Amino acid sequence: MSPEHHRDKARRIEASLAKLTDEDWEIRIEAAMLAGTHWVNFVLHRVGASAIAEDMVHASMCMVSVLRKYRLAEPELIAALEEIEELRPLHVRGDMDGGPQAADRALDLLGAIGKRARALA
Amino acid sequence: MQISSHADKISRLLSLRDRLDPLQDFELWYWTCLTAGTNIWNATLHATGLTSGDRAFSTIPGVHVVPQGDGGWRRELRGPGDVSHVGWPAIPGDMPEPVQRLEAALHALEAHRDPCLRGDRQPIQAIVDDCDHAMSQAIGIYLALVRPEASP
Repeated sequence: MSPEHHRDKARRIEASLAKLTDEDWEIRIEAAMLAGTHWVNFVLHRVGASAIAEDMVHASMCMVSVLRKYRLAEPELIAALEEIEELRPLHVRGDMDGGPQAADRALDLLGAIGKRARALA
Repeated sequence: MQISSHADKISRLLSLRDRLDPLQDFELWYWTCLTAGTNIWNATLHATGLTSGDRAFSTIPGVHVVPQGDGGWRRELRGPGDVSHVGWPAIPGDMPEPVQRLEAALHALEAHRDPCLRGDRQPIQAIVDDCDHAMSQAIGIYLALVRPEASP
């Protein structure tokens, strides 16, 4: 997908986040994953680390050698996305305590990812 | 995960779904439907005895995150329990007819995931209607099989 399309998708998701509350922690975390992944693809395409036809869906589902390449290109970005993904089994698919706080953390990480991406926009 | 935890999530997710605009907020509206649908699937499979309702959270097929007594967690290799998506993995055993209809409805919902969320397909009212139809079927089966005593 083109960088511009990733950017537009990420922005749409971020705009919808304004309608969510602390009680919606599952989708706040999922929104961080979805928008964060679009922003990461935007950055990886822009810096030339991935081709337009080579979109990442989840860091955790990436081929190890490909993820290694992405980490070399954008280590902080990939680390932030991986931390968001680690929250999903615990609080989206699970019922561990602290869902609202986990969602706050996910959105902080999305903010950091978006800041890096917007610097290239 | 226990049915009560799935039910709590389903209730809050369906409430959120009503607060989002299906077209303006399509990505999160759709993902809320998808997440509610997966919880409906898991709760129904537990209620019909097809999968375990153990407190083990899905990741990829065969691997679950299991809470530990000290408040932590660890990954474990496990048999059929919660799944992350319908069909991932397929559920062994004979499924009752309503569960087969639920599975088909959730597959119809999932069909829009990658084209609309990770591809170039633009959300249109026909897609929203298709998702709404799938969700209506799923909620109806959930109410009949899992929560006959209460609305979600």
